[in-house]
Amino acid sequence: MKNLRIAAVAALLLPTAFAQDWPQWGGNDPGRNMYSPAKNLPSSFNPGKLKQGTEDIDPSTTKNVRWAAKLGSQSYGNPVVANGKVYVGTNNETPRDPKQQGDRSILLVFDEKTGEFLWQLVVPKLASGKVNDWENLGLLCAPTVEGNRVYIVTSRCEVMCLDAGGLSNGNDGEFKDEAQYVAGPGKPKAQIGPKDADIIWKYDMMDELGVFPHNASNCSVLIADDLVFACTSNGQDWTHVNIPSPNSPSFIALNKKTGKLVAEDSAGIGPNIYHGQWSSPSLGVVNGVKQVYFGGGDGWIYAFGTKPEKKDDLEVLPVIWKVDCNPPEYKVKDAAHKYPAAEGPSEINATPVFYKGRVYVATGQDPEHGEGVGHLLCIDPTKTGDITKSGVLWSYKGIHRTISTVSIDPATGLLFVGDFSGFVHCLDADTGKLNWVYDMKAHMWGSTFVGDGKVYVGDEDGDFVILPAKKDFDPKKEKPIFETNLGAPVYSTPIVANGVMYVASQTHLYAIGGSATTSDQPPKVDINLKKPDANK
Amino acid sequence: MIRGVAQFSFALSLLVSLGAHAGHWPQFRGPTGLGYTDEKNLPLTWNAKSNVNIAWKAPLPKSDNPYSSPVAWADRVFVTSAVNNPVEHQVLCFDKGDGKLLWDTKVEPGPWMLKDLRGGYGAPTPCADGQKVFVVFGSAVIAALDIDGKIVWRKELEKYNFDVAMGSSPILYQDTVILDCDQNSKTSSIIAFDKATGAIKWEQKRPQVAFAHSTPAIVTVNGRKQMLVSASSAIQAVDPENGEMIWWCSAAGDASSPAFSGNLVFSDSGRGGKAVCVDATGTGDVTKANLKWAFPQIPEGLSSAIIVGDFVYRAHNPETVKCIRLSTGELVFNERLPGVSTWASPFATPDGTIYFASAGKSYVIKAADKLEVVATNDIGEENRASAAVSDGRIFLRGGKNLYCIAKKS
Repeated sequence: MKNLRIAAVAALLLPTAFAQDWPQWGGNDPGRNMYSPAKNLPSSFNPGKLKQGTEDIDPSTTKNVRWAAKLGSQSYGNPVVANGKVYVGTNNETPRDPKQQGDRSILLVFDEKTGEFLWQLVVPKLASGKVNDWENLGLLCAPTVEGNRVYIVTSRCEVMCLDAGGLSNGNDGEFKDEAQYVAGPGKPKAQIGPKDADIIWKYDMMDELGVFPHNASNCSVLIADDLVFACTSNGQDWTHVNIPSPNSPSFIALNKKTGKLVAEDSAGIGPNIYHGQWSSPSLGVVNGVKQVYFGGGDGWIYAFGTKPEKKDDLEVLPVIWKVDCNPPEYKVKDAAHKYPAAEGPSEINATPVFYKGRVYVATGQDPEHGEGVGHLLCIDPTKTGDITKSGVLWSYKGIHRTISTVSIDPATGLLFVGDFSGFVHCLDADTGKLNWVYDMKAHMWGSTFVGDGKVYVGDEDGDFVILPAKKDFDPKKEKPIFETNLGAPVYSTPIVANGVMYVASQTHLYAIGGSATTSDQPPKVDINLKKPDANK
Repeated sequence: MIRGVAQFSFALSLLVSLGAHAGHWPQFRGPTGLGYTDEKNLPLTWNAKSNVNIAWKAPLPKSDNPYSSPVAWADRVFVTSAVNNPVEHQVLCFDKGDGKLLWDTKVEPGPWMLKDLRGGYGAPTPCADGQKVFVVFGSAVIAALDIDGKIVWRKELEKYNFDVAMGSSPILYQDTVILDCDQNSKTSSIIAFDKATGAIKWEQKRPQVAFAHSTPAIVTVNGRKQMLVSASSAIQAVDPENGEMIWWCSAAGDASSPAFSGNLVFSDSGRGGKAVCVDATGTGDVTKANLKWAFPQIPEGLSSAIIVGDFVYRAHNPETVKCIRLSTGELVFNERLPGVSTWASPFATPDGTIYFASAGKSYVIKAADKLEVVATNDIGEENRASAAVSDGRIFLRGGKNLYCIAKKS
């Protein structure tokens, strides 16, 4: 009996012990704090050199790099790791399938241990062109993996569910015409095989909702219960004046099993979109109630309930609270503050982070609009309604426009966030007090990652730095723990899964650090030590 | 024939009367198209508030996109201006000595009415040759005005599938004014207009390249003229006699003009991405043979690079300047110049002083292997236009005024 109980506890422990995957944007944390509790994270590495005349990294020139894989030429999709596979979005400049040439968006899937290529999803470009689907950007989202299902938003503005095994285990799900999908509408079917993706279902947001994605669709979807939450990327057309579909939703929930629409937002964001919408949602539980956070293209953050309500024959997601993230002085009605002017208001591109009962998010714009003023807010999510005046616990205007998500270190209570002007800010998450600012001297598109007392971040110059996650770091006097250059811009966020750090430059994905013994083998669970607990 | 002679002598008299002044700044980025000036006695510092080294300031008409740069010929300075609603284009001529407005001529807009107004109608910089000033506006129109402001000819472009706006400025070559019309829908071309009549002397259609907004520069390589064009898919050397390609090297191009020194061309798109350095002595596709080096990433910054000695200087977002060794492609430094315009293109003097100058915050640096800031200046009228330099004077176009910077004698 005793042994059985021990076995049961061990069985319960094992999955969580294994569950150091990073299965979605934000890892195991649906609050999407860019943090991992992993220890012994890298303090240095050498990204190595290319083998002469190739685009492959020569492993003999690297140090502390487990493997490196060639991506396309532009890679904005953040890697995720789940159940032994690494997923990353890129473009098709280095085709894995010689039959698929030219501009495509690609989801690449690698073996976690070896970096061996397993399968890929090939997404053709939209016929409407760059106004909806900008050239060569590739697949922009980070997938969300749950069990053997992979959920993404494609560059064709579709929410899609894939089989984590690809087509090698047969064509599962209701969607069967992968060969047509890969080729594109109206084209002769593509030749596909076991190294291609198995689409379970797809939901076309342009067809179904009439949304008009401005240049790109990118949401890293969130799953809560049976719902997949996604930003629709609805926005302006090419005139940058007109919003073609102001009444289309900005945020939706689909049934994760069927891909059918369950509900849409009731926030009426459409007419007030400044430009486009590219924020991914996060989840918090406040007083026992789930809240989904969404940064709108109107510069407001919304907390939606996850239980749809009926409104005018529509199933809608109720707004629990909302905050206008642009302070009044950014919204003065003159030319100097007219969107996208540097001193003016912004939308939200970063992902809101739920951490210890609070929500953190900062404002920013399409990187094409350059630098400008930003605003970082810490919000009390226990209030309801328009809580712009009552719900902001602290805010920080020292940040510039940013598309980066914050990382908060539970060990120190420090919040780290990069901005598009090139500065990493360190504040107390609790009070908003600024501790220090580090100058990267280059745009940051990706986010900081914090873990093991260190802050990791890359920039547009390809520089990758490791800073100490400590309050009294003095950037004027002290140097970073480590600096290197990845040879291409870094537009992604470093992540950690099973003790290994993954970071993608525009052209390569690196698996850094960790050791074969810790990552290849199940962690040893000493049953004897657990005995006293197990007997309680 | 007699008419020809009369025209010639008239032209000659104009040249004599106007040509007495040295230091013309006849087009975007000056006489070389590369940002170099011969001036040796330029002010290093200026301040509009305390009136330090501000020779004069002339008000400009309201302009929605006051991005074109001033040009100078002899005793005159020319500026173009445009508004969106109703669409209006005008050309202004100022006295270089005292800033007096000499004339102000409206040019009838062309056929392209913009819906997306981010770039506007007023980006292309005019060019001037002492007899005429040639102006291009984003409504797809080019015109020549005489030195008294009278319109001599006006031509509308047949194709205008430009991306957002026209950005390329007209440049001078012998008896032609050349306009790079790279655009969408496989309708790109380079057009050479006859300076005298506006007739098209040649047009080189180039459907293989997509849109770009950069201004070409004409250089001499081994005694032969090459027009360096930063095109969408390649840095190209084009024969300015006929638009035929001399050589090309695969590279992304769009906004920035190429830099050139010692038969080496430096080019990046201005929109973020890889930069290339190419040996300009080849022919045909030199992508493999003559690519000296590639620099992995120059972030967005619509301004252009300048080469001084063995260093390429390139200001870009977020308000930083990179110095890259021309001979090797290695990064020498990347430093902040807070508030610097990454739209305005720099100019350099013979002694290696580089002006990152605009009507906003300006930096004067010494060409060296580390950042040596000689002076910082701020007129406080931030704008995207590049400086013009002539006769010891620097002309800076603000959002509302034209400034003449000169040492007080």
